[in-house]
Amino acid sequence: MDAAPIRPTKSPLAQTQEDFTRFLRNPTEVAIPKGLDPRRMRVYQGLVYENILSLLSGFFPVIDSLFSEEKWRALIAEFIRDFKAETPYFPKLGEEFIYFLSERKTLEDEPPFLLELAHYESIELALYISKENHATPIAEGFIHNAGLSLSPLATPLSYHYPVHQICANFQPQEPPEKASYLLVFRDNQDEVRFFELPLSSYQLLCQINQNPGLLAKEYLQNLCPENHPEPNGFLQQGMALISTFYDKGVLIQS
Amino acid sequence: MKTPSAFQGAGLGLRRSIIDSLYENIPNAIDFFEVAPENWINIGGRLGKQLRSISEQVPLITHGLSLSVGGVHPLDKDLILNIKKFLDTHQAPLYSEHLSYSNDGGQLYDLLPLPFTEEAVHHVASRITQVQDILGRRMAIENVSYYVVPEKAMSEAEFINAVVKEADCDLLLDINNVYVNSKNHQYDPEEFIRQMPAERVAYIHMAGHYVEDDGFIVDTHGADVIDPVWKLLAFTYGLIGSLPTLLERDFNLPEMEQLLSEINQIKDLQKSQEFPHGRSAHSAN
Ligand SMILES: [Fe+2]
Repeated sequence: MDAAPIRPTKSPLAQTQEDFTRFLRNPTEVAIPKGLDPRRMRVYQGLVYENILSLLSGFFPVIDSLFSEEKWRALIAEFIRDFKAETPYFPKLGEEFIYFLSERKTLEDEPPFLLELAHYESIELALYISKENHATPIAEGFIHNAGLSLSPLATPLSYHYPVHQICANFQPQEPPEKASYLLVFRDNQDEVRFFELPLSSYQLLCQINQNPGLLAKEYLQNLCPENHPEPNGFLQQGMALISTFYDKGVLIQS
Repeated sequence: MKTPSAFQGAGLGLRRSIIDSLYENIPNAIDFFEVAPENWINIGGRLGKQLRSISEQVPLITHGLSLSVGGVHPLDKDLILNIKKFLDTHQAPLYSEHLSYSNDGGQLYDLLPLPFTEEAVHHVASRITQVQDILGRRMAIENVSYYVVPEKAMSEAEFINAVVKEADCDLLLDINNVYVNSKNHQYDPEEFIRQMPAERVAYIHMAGHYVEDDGFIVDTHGADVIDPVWKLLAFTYGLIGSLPTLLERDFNLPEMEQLLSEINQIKDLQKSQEFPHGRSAHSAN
């Protein structure tokens, strides 16, 4: 008897499932497992595909609207074929799709902002369903001597592309000179809101996020350029900004 | 307030799209709700609060989608522990899953058919046992709609009986799935229900489905319940008693009024049945 090549033996059940799912993931290249009715196997393939398609179209309505139907369907087919999404949780499927996009090269005929737009589209749901709660507001006036931190329900974002403006009629093919800075925040009515930020506000929020617990004054002193002509004015404006963020609940006591 | 430790009567599958209109004003006809834990675990914010409000008012039972209890890849322990926490938080009287698999090393998010073999019986039963051990309670397993049988060493009814017996678990009997399978695989649905382990049936599912031009049926949960399925439900009640029954509707959701009329139809059937053995609604553990 010939020596068989050494390979791990698969149980019949494992083999059955592998043959079955290989076809579902790649129906154009993989044959329908022997003995199974082709029409009914295509029903399964259609159910798997349409379910994932409708979930992802729900997560990424802007991308869906920018792609032709054919291209969007092809991208979903590629996702199913090439990517093993691990999360058992349906609201997390959008994040799996972003991993998939980030591991793959954006094609020439796809918008260059695809990954950034996908990220932007996913952040609203992420905050909407976040289990974090709002901090209880603390007494007025306390802000000057409280250590600050960023609310877990607030996320400062920066994108090369103005993802918040992209639509069918506005699809920049190159990043503009200036990046876009945004704040996405779940307010105390549990509504998610987006704000455009000037660079300086973005930097302030990032600094507080990276290094929480300092006083308002300390963050502002760190941010104030050494040769600033009017450091007092800078501090005053900065305090006003911090108060506003604080009042809205974007900044909280650390 | 209804006791959250048991459930009875008629329930409705709770979708995100209807919770907003329900949580402050639960119609009297709805005795309990069912959710897929994989849609609700780690959900905070407005939706999380609304769900909590619901489970404080009526029993919330759970019907999983992603466990892949029939799959050959390792069970997701993290998911099971999160389900356990979820069951505790909502004092959910019951957790069920499908007699199928959905994972091939990644999720396909669908209910794929198991072969009806000895090997599959032992495999799935041992995994159900593991899940029950971690949860510290018995779970129910649901008969699914299937369109092909990858291998058939026994009948579907024999397969289900063997799994339930070996895993010492409960059965969630989906009447619509019985009907769909009886059409797609040409068998007698009443005979099939007679073969089910009556004492193990924890509760019942009802749903609508989609019939293709040539009579082939795809189980979509996207249509009203049809007459033959109502008849089959009445037959089942007559055989094993008026068990708690849930109306599943996942797509094409109609007005609440239409859903409530189906809920009331369930309740009417339940009332018109005597409990043959004076049995009470099943409670987990
Ligand atoms: Fe069901």
